[in-house]
Amino acid sequence: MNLFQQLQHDTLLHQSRRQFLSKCVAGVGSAWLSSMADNALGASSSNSLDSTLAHIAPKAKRVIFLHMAGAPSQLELFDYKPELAKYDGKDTPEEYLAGQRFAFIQGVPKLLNTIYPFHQAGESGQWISDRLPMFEKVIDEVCFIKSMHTNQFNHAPAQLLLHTGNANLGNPSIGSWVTYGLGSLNENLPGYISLVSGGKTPSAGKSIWGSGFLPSVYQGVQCRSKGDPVLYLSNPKGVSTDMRKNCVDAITKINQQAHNETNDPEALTRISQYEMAFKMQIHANEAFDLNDEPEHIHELYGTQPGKESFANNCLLARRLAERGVRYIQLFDWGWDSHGAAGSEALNEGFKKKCEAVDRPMYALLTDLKQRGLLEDTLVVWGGEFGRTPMRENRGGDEMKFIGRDHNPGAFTMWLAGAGIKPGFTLGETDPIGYKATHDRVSTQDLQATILHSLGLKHNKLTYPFQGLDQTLPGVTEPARVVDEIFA
Amino acid sequence: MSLWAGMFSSGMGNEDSISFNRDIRPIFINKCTKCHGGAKADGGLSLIYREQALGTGESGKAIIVPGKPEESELYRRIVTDDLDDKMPLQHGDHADEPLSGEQCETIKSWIEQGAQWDDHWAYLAPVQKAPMKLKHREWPRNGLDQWILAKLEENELQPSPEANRAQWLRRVSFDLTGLPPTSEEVASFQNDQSENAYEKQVDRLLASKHYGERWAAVWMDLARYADTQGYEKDRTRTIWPYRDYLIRSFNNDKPYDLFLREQLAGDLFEHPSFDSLIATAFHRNTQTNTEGGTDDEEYRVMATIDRVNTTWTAMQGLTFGCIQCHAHPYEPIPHEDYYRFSDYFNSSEDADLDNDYPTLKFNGDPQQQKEAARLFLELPKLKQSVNNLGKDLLANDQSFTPIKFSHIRSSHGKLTQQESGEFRTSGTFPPGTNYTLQADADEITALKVTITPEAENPAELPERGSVLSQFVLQVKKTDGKLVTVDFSNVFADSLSGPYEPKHSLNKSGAGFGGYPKLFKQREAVFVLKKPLKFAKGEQISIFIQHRATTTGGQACTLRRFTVSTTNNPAWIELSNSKALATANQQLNKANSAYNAIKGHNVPVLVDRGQDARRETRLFIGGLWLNKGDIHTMGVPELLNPANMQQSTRLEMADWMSSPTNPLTARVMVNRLFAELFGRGIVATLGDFGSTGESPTNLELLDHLAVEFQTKQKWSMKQALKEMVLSATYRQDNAASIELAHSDPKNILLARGPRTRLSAEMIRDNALATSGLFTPQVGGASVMPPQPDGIWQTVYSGEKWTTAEGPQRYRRAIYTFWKRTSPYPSMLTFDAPSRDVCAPQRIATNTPLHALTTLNDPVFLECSQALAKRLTKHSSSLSEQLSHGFHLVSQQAISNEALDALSDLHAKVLKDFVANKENATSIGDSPEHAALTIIANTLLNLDVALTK
Repeated sequence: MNLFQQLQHDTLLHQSRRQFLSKCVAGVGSAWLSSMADNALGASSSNSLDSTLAHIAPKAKRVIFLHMAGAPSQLELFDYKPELAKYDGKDTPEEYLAGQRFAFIQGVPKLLNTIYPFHQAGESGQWISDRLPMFEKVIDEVCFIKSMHTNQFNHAPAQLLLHTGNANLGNPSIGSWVTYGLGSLNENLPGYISLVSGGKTPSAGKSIWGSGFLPSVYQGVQCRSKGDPVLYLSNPKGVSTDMRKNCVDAITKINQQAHNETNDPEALTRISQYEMAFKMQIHANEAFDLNDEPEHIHELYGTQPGKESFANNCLLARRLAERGVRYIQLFDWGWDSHGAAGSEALNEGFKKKCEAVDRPMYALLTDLKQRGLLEDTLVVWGGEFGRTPMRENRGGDEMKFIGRDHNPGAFTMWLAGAGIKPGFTLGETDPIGYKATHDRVSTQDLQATILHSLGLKHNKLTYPFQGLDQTLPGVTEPARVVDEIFA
Repeated sequence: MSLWAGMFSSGMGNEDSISFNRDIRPIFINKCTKCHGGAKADGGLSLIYREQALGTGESGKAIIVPGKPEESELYRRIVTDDLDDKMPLQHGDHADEPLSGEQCETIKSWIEQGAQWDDHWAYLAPVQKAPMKLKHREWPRNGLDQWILAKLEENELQPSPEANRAQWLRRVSFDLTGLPPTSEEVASFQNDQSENAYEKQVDRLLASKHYGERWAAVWMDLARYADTQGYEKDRTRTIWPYRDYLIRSFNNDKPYDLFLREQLAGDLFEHPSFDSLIATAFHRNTQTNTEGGTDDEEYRVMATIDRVNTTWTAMQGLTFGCIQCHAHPYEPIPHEDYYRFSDYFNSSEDADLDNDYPTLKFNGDPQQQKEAARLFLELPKLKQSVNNLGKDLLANDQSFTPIKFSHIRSSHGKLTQQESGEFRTSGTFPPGTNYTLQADADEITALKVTITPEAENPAELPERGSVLSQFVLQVKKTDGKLVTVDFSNVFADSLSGPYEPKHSLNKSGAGFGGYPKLFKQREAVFVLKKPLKFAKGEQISIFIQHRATTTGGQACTLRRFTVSTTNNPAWIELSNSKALATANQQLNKANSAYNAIKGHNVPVLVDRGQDARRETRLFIGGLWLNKGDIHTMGVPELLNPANMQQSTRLEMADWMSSPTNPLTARVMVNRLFAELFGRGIVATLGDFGSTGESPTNLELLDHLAVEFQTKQKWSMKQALKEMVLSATYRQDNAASIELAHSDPKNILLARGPRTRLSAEMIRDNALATSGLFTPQVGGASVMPPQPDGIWQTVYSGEKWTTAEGPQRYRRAIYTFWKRTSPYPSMLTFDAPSRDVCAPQRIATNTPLHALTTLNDPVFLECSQALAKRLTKHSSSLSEQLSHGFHLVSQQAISNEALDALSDLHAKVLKDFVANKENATSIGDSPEHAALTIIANTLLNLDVALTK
């Protein structure tokens, strides 16, 4: 190879690397990986990542998952059980208790009727309690699954199961699987973002948006309402954008020289990543700035810029959806209505939680719809399990406040947008809302369904780890796509 | 990839004869074993075991007939044109591409040649081969180089020239100590003309106290080390003395076999030392779930499973976790082996309790520490000696008769006595529940309480805890007054768990029974000081108080129990015996001595006594509530061809650390190699099985493994020394265009390694370069600055309190590690969350890296300090820039880099002079601010982030 050929080759190598990087945002994002990494994945050579792109026509381009951490009561919101009124205050029959494991209920608890009145709403006539008067206006947009069930009855494991397909730590969350499979639609923002409200991270900790055994590039990036939305996004005080640009240019120059000397492709990747970081600083700050929303939008959502709230996070979710973020995960803490204190009682704290989410939920669906985004955005709402039809009797005695214990046997979730049947209800529970009985949907089924709507097959989206082709729902229990809820 | 497959398969055997491992097994694994393997054997066929493959399937047809492909059903099914009959299936969920013509031919030839079946390479002991003939015989400096060169020559490549001394010194300093060399160290090495100049540097680095910190960090990923318990509340756990044990062990070059033995079974050594006790904290890094309402047994079982999986991943490089649920899909390891192995860990005392019981007292003073360790080991023995005095009598005394109570009262629920004398309960029993039982009585010397599980089927055990928190004996006088009678002693059928039988005599929640779970029937005897006689009309009155609860306030009440009495005088004799007095005295003395030692309580591994061992049952389908047959301790036959007995955890540790184990040495030398060269000889550090990557140079791996076991006597320092002094490691890490193209990942090592600094090194490098670095080794974990609001853990008042002074500048290894919220910059640079054992970090390169090193206040603070250091060095800008560049890279600055940095400096300075306010935010003056920006730029250069 003469000098000329060498230079030409060098340029090509540089270019192709860059091209690869720019392409990657639309495909399997392996360009994020260091060149050393792909051999370390546990993949035998023939087991390359390209098999992960499944070929179903996608209905959704992105997902917004609203997780009410702590598990809201289905019996006070959506799962209307008139039978329960008859048994209110009576001892729970033995057949409901035998072999059950409860978190707090002891001995023989008493049944508890729903404490809020229910009615039918919208043209679809779906049942709803009086707690969500705003959300009720968009009830015809959503599809309820009343027959959700899980096999975990404690928060951290149940949240892990819902988001990672496994009750134990160490597995990637849905958002990680999705960005691993589909990449991001916007190179200037992380492809998977999580937003937290309620003042606490979910019980399972930050692993709930972690990448588990997938490379760390697929982990969710927690964006915050206070301080930098993305950690370390802003320049230190005193460093202007221009100055930063000059720094990155100098770094690029010197790194280019390092590459010329060593031919290490990582040096080139690093150049690209610094340039991307610079762009991300501008775009992400802009994406997270709620101040540029018009007044009527703030009114719609009930947002107050600079505050940590579910409302702000819903508006952010819409802004991120508009900008091509693939997976937007919201957690709202404070739904664990045991009744051990007023803040977590169905007749106190729960009421306030409902008030805080009612308008934003309504606003998000309305706003997505009016922008034409609901067509290809899948919105999912729910908790990690349901609540018991029994009143909690922590410590064996009746408690001052009214609450319900954890119930893995039945809970309600709703989905909307992206080809989901609007105004539809799937599944039923038994007469007291304790167990899902008809058209049961497991957390794994839900995962398969979310992947399906994104065009991914849950059993084809695999990653080799520990000698197995791992999948999101796992292999222990077969998962099914809930076809019935697609229009 | 096919290029590489070709490159590595050549030279591994005669081209004409088919090798099962090289040619056939990969086809089976890729195309067949998903359905015909260990986890699933459709049609009765598994291609994991040879005897099954040579047998007949459910169809009755011979699967493989050696020598006769045409009679082999397997061959017929892969070549048939009948799409309904063809394998792999052509329809349905498991449909797959048919085998290529070439693959079919290979299988055909293999069957013709006799269908020879070889064990997977990793299950055969490593053997050192005689080196082959090499052209460049002058190049190798040691055995490692010979095998590298052999591979290079096979691929018609030449080694690269030696790196300049500074490049090598930077690399070896980071690799051995995790820190960059100082300018003085570089200069002194460059001026050292002696023959052993390189060796002197290596010896210096290996002797550095920072060596242990660098390598402890590697082991901490495997040990899933964290400073918190994990899960919801994720409270602080004091376990950093284990981290310091690691540092100490590496610094003292503890032989690797001993290092493993200590961590797996140091508590069972004949004479355990403090170090061998603290070493067992390795397996106490499992998570404790303190979320209210969680089942402690569930998370105890999870911790046991984690111990099994971690042991295998970290020390054996095998995916043993697969067989929790079924036989291994790809390796000949049956389902039962998992439970035989888990029996080694299933009878430890820890039980997912909030306080991480059991714990060892940690005290920094060596003398006191020694004493604490001695007493820690002594105490259980002394407790046993006291209890043993009554235990035998309890087992043999047939004179106890159940009391029939005339008055039975429970504060809650319903308590009834049956004909047999046994009590049963129904209803709701909250934690404070108490029972009052009264009856007529004669003379008594002792009372026996028997607690029986409600479940009749032992496979349903254990069940909810059952604890006799307080047991009070009273005489009900004729006037109704109650007079309490004291007991002298309590003896039980066995001792286990956090509570002692005598706790039933006080008002705490602790007491005799089963806590947090009841595993089997329990008996305890409450002995009187002297025989108790009842006058006419007087009654015995018993008061049972419950106070014990598990997380979520679940009460541990007595649900099925019997109270019986005896008038056997032997109990009074025992009660007054000198033997008992002496035993009690010794116990009390040891107890007070142990309690007098101040310190932290560090979780360690402690086994329950022989009489309190738990049964280990197979989990059907891996589900912990679905229990099968009982299994007892043993290791997989696959790796124990000599069938040596391993019937204790210590024997298992001996087996694992013995030279006959084919995996132990290989897995570790491969890990050391990967840390230095950026890639393992087996690229999948945690998977040496059939689905892992094949070794790129098996002869090299085996050479290193055998040397490690024999000549190096498991010395990690010696193993590392051979590697870093090799000609291979000394090569320049620049690649020619051709080489970068033909071997982009540097698998063949025709050039020196060039890899990114680890997460820890990136922090440590910034600290060292700026001069802020605090060299203190060991001690409690620290909290360097992190953005506000990162910790928002539920139900936890714990706060991140930013360290001030020197503690702010400790090495990354000392940063407090909270599992649910790890230090952000560590995660960004690929550190695992430490929830579970991480055998390997996957290096990434993302914009978030840039944002961290550019904007994280930690890096700004280092940049400010580095700027001051540069100002101190010289007043000339170009001197400052050259020196800065040298500090971050150990290389001389090029003219281009000097120009780029000078230009940048001019612009930045101009800006700061014009905007004084901005300058004040960054530095003391516009000049200092400008140089700070330059320093930050330097820390962000590729050469600064790479070794």
